[in-house]
Amino acid sequence: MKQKIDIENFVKRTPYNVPEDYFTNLTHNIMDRIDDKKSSIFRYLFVILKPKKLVPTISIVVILFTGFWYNSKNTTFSDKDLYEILTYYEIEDELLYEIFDNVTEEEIDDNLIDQFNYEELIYELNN
Amino acid sequence: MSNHSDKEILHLFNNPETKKQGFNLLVRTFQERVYFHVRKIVIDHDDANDVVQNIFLKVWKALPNFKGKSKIYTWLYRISTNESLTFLKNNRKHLFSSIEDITEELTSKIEGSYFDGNEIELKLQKAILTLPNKQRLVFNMRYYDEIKYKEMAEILETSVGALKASYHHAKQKIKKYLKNN
Repeated sequence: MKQKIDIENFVKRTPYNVPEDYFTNLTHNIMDRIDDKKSSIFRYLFVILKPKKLVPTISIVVILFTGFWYNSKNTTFSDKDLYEILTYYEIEDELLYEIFDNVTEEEIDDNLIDQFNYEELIYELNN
Repeated sequence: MSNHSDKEILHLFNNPETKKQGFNLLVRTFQERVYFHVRKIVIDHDDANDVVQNIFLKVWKALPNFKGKSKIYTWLYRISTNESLTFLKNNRKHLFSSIEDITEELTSKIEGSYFDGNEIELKLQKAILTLPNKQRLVFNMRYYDEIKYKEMAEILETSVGALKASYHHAKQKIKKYLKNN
């Protein structure tokens, strides 16, 4: 015949125990730690904040901030600027016209003149 | 169990001159119950010791904000439960440890230190450890601590119905384990 298991009939006793005088020592340890904690708030913050765990977060914040700062300093990036960059890197004319087919030839000529004058000025200053 | 009332503890704690005396009284009054609640969750004595000390350090910091809407012990129980579950979560060996892995790890700790149960009690503890953490928590609170469902609902911030169902399922699983092992 199978024995019916009823855990409600078991003796309800926590089978775990502790070292002798454990609770007396626990009170002392806790009270010592709150004294220590009061005297070293920075060490407490160090433990709570866990700087090692913050490194990835700080890195991301620094990268985002740098990107934001860089972009905020270059807010006036115009078609003209882009045109100058592309011409500086000697992009083929056809590709350049394709990108800037709305830029008139006169405007392009003006840029070339500006560049010419600038180079001429440097030449004069160096001689 | 101590006869010191919440009112007495809070009165001492809220006076700057007797603040430490009040906190000392709180620790002495509740440390044993908090310890055994934590121990039943984390199993290992050294782990329980670390968790309990951290709980009381948090209580020292948070007690000035205690509104007194619940009993100190209910509030302490909630902090202890959260801290213990967080400890288990942070100390699992692998990020995606299964319930079986956690059960195996905790079972290996039962007989490690400071366990004075007999064969039946050991088997019952092993059965309890096969339960998911929250179900195990509900079972321990109801079975060993005999906390009323209403109070448990307040501590665990859930409904009485859900707790009753959880306890029922836990008992069925334990019975099945004991029958098969």
